[in-house]
Amino acid sequence: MAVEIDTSAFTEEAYELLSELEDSLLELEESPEDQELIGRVFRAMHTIKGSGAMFGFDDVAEFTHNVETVFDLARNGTIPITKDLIDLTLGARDQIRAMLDAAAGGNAADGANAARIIAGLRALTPGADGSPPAAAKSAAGKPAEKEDAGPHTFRIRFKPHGDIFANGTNPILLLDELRELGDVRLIPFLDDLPHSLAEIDPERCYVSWEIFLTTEQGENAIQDVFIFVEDECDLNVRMVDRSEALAEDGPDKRLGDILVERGDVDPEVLEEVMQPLGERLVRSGLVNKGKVEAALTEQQIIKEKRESKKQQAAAQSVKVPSDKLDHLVDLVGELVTVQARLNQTSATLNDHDLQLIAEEVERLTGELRDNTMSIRMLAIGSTFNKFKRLVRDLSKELGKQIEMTTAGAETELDKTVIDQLNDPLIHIIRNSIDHGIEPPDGRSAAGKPSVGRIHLSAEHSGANVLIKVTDDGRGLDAEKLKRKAIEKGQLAPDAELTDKEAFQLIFGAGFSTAEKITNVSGRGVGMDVVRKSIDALRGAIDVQSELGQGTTITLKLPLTLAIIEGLLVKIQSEFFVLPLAAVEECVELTREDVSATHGRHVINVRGSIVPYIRIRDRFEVEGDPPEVEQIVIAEVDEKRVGFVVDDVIGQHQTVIKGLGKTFQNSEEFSGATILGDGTVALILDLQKMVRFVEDQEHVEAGISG
Amino acid sequence: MYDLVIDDTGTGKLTLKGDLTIQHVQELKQSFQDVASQAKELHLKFTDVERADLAGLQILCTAHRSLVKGGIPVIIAGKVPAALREASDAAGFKGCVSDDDQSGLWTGG
Repeated sequence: MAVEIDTSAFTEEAYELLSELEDSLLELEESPEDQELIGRVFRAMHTIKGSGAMFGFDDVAEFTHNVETVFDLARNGTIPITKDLIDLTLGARDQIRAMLDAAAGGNAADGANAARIIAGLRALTPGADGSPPAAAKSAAGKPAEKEDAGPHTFRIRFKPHGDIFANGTNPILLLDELRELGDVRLIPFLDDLPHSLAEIDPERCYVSWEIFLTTEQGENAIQDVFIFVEDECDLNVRMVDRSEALAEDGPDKRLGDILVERGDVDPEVLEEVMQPLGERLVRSGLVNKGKVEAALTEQQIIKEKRESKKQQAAAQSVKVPSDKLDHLVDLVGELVTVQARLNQTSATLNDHDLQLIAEEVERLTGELRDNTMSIRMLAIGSTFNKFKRLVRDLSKELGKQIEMTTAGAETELDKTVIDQLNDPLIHIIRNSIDHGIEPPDGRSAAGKPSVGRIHLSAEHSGANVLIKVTDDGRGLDAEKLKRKAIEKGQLAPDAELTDKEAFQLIFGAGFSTAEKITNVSGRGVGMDVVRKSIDALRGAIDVQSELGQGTTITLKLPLTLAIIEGLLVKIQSEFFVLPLAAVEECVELTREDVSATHGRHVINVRGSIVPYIRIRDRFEVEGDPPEVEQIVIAEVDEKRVGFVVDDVIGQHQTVIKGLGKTFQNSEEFSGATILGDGTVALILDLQKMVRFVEDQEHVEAGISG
Repeated sequence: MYDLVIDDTGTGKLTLKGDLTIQHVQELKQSFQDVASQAKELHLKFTDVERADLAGLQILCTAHRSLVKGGIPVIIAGKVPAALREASDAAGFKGCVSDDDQSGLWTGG
């Protein structure tokens, strides 16, 4: 009987590893001498290779093996980390991704591309063109591991875990492998081996070793011996004759340091002993107090860093499929609705005990809701990292030099929002790179540094998150935008626009001022898609720009899409919800106010004129308005606009329900909600309402004009 | 595989053959426990051992410590085969199992 192997666990892990690989490679490009990063890249590839082979992805395993082989040379310092190597390894990462996609039913991966990458990587290896390696030094000029002449002695502490035999490992074979690397002296520790037959579990391993290996090979070769048992043992490898320790004029290695290095004395104990030494030194005038304090601080910082690293490693998490979370959010949504009904019923019945229970349920529901929402919150950093690659590749393609910086990567947003934010941000960044940032000579001519900058930041602002893309490019030319809009018939020739309004023109469908169309942008698709996507997220876009100085595009997004705080209002017997975040105040509208403005829909609020929309008229609600109506004044697209209703009921926490297919085209509603008594209230999309009315007025003005 | 005979005088003769490996260590432990409970002296012969691993070495070591502590002398009968010597050398168990070290055999662990 054939056994079906579930490969989804592998592919999921592989995708994560690939994204880690990409991040590490990009970081490595910045700091090519960072051994920790090189190790991370190597480990990611090694795991993909190993698990790939295990799950039957032989092509992935083979390809990754070839890439890994070359990267291993970089790891042990034989070849330097160069831009070419990073480029090819990034290409290899994309190729592995394509292979995995192909296995999941996507398009077949391009085999020729794989061959090109491997050939390119092999060309970087020593002897590929008959010459010695380009440089056996890392970029920082630090001697590579192999270049350090002569054999070295390593101290290896190898303590297999008790259950290591269970997977068929015989540690003696590993010791034999070490012998192949060089001269071995080993000391077995049998202290843990029981002295009584009754106590021993003969299938457990009780032995550990301290091994002194003198070898020409580097530490990586030693680590590789243990690579398949790294989870089944404690391993510590340390060079005991590092050159600085052997330097003739160097200080003798202090006993304390050796004891600490060997782990025989706790560093904290040594620190305690050392402190009086510091004081003695100060007293004898050999070292001043500041220097001793600085040394102690340095020690403290390192200790704290190690501690936090340990804690990070210890932080545990559970992976859960996102549809389970979505279901949980739905259930919490239902619960919030039922809780509202419970509140209403208990208030109607006026039963004290029931009210107490209802209050308790309200508190718990609130906590449950906040908790559930927090589970869906993800840091935006992972999305930011993707853009680093985009900026790198695009700037290279366009021959521009661009540095991308980020801030606020830890800012959390609802997973759904983050997922849907990807495309709009790509469009914005592409536009910045293509139209915003000038080529290096253009920048020099404008007196700017030749390297352009794009800064991507995220920050919380109340119930919203602000995501800003700032570039120091040429900025938007308001006049040019207006001319283009008039040319395209999107703007009346005599229209008067502020610069800010002109900037908004870039979001018009088919609008592009690019003189030539590039692969990147300039086709006029993109920015209108950005607006649509951000609208769909109930967000807003703001553009600020200064000609010649740069542009900042700010996306204002709600923290979550599932629940909003709303203001419940009533018109006749209909209920509506306005997003509370936009609401500024409520004022009364009397018949006298209406007649005073001669039918124009504006009101004077403490000296400023605010236009308003009559929801009753807009939705043709039948019946007569009350004597005194209410105007809810909200900020929409940075303008104050009033919405006239009969009654303001109050604040209402709203679980957003979709309107279904039948009403999907009703743009002025962003959804609906169910009230405590089962009544449906529609949630108004204020921006769209305002735009609709503005468009209508333009049309009417056009007709009358 | 493991042949244990205990005669009337209380002398146990344990002959080990074939694999002294993880697959057989439970069986071996039982044999040593039988020796501990029934014999006064043990003659251990492992001339025909063909393979040994760390689990095998561990149980030999513990058995020796345990028996000697319990007053049961252990005497190696015959030659220590190459397979066993190589395994003990590889693991660094020097002075533990060797032809010329019968007096102080294993006591150091």
